[in-house]
Amino acid sequence: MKRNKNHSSDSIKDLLKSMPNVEDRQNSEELYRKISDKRNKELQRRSKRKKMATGWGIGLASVAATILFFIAVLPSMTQEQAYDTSSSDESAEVSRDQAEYKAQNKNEMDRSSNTNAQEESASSEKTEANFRDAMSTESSLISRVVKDNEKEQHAIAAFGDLQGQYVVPITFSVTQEVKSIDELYNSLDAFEEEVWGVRKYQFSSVSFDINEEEGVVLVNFPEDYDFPESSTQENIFIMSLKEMFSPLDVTTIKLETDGEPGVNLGNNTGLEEIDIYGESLYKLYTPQNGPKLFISIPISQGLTVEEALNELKVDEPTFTIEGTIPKELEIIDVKPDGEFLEVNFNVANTIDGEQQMLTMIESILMTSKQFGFTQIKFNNLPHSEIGKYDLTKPISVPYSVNPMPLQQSSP
Amino acid sequence: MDSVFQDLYEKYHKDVFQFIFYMVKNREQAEDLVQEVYIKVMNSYDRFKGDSSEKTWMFSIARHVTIDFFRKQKRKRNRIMEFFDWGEQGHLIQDDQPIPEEIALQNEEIQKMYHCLERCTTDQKTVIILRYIQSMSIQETAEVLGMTVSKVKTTQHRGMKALQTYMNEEDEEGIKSETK
Repeated sequence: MKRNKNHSSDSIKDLLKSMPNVEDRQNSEELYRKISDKRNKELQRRSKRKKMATGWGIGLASVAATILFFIAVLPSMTQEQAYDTSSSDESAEVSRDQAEYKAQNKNEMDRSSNTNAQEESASSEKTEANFRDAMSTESSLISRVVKDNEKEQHAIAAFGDLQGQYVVPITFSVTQEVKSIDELYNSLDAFEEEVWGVRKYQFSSVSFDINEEEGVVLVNFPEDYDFPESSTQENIFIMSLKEMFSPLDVTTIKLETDGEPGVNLGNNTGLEEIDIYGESLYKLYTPQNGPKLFISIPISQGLTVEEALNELKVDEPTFTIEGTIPKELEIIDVKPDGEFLEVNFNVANTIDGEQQMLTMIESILMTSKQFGFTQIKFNNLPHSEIGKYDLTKPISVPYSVNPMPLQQSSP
Repeated sequence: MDSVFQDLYEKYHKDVFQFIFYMVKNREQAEDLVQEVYIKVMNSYDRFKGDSSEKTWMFSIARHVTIDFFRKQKRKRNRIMEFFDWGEQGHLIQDDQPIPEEIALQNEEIQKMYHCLERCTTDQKTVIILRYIQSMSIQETAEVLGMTVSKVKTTQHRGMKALQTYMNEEDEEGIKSETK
């Protein structure tokens, strides 16, 4: 019969010290050959990725041209449509945009077939099509959220708005297995910030080591990194990092400079960690030169979800930000039940544009998600279905906002 | 052969491999991961400034590589068993691995310890492996883990207490199953 030894701390130590040596069976030559092979493959992959990223940049230049074209033609078109009295009805605007896209695409395709177009031209068309697809729903309305799904992996790049107040997160997705989440975040580069009407991406030279197991992202900055010095820049810097990793299963961002703990910000010398906490609102950023994108606006602590949703009605014209809930629409109350939230509207109110309603729904979904809700049920809205959403049923909150296609730039 | 590789291999290979092996408990996986460690080391060797020792720097990279492996395993597992929450013990997926012959040849107590280590948290397991199997000092362990010395001491203390409990539990279970 066995005796209970009732292990002491010393006996545990002795046992640990007696654990057998386990040796690698690869000899040094074999190991070196394998390492060299892997390093060479990695170098080839990087070089390929760089080339493709350049190609993507060329494609985006074409998107920029298209967007600028719409901005130029839109005012005159709006005047022609004098019967449309609703200045904030995005639906009409979107339809026109789509029509112009189609026309332009058709012209370009014709040109392509007629003139034996070069490779770059074909690539531009593909980028345009993908750009439109990424933001559109089946009903031609623009959806600005990314749903979590098993087939895709997402990485978020965050950009300061032009006024340097808030952060615009943009989500890039690739098919699962193409890249690990680390690789995806580390490959975020070569953006067309001017096209999107945002500030320059700050983390191209930075490496990310994401450890969801421990809930930590390790962000390593190169020694010569140009850290923000003003408090405004510092704010954007911190908010951007939070926004980029908040949908992941992490709670802490650890900061390192050249492998050593801590970064020196203007007002925050030796900052080693950022905790991901706090809530944000998602309103609509409408820069003069750029597409309309959701923008993340931090909210003060202690605000209830109902107060936060009512805050979505407020425009911030100084920062070219539009509220997403029409002023005339009243949220009577909200009923939280665990992770489920019911949002009750005043039945008497109507919403003119379907696009406006879709934007409102998605803005509410994302804002509610910040408060820990996972399912939202909308009651008393004038439609039972909008875009891809069945409003008679609870809707799952999305993963993130502002989808952009990255697939074409991936190896 | 690269002289940097040769030098590091001679000085640290046995220890680094063993550390990775006890972390992931799978020989083939440890062989793959040790390659990753050398790739990262060689890619960044020029930037190593000697603020920490070469040894702790290399172990710190090895630790990151193994943690990254656990994370990928967890993601893979989540895709397969999305409704099953394994919490923080994501690395337990490795527990189905057969016992390697080096362990199988040892006495029952060593084999129990090998299993009990897996029940500790990742930090506790790392500290215990570095301190008692790799015989590192508290200061070296702190450098590898990027922890303060007092945090290492606390983690070590909690880990040892946990191991003590798990080992005693295993003994109890052994007695119960034999008396049935």
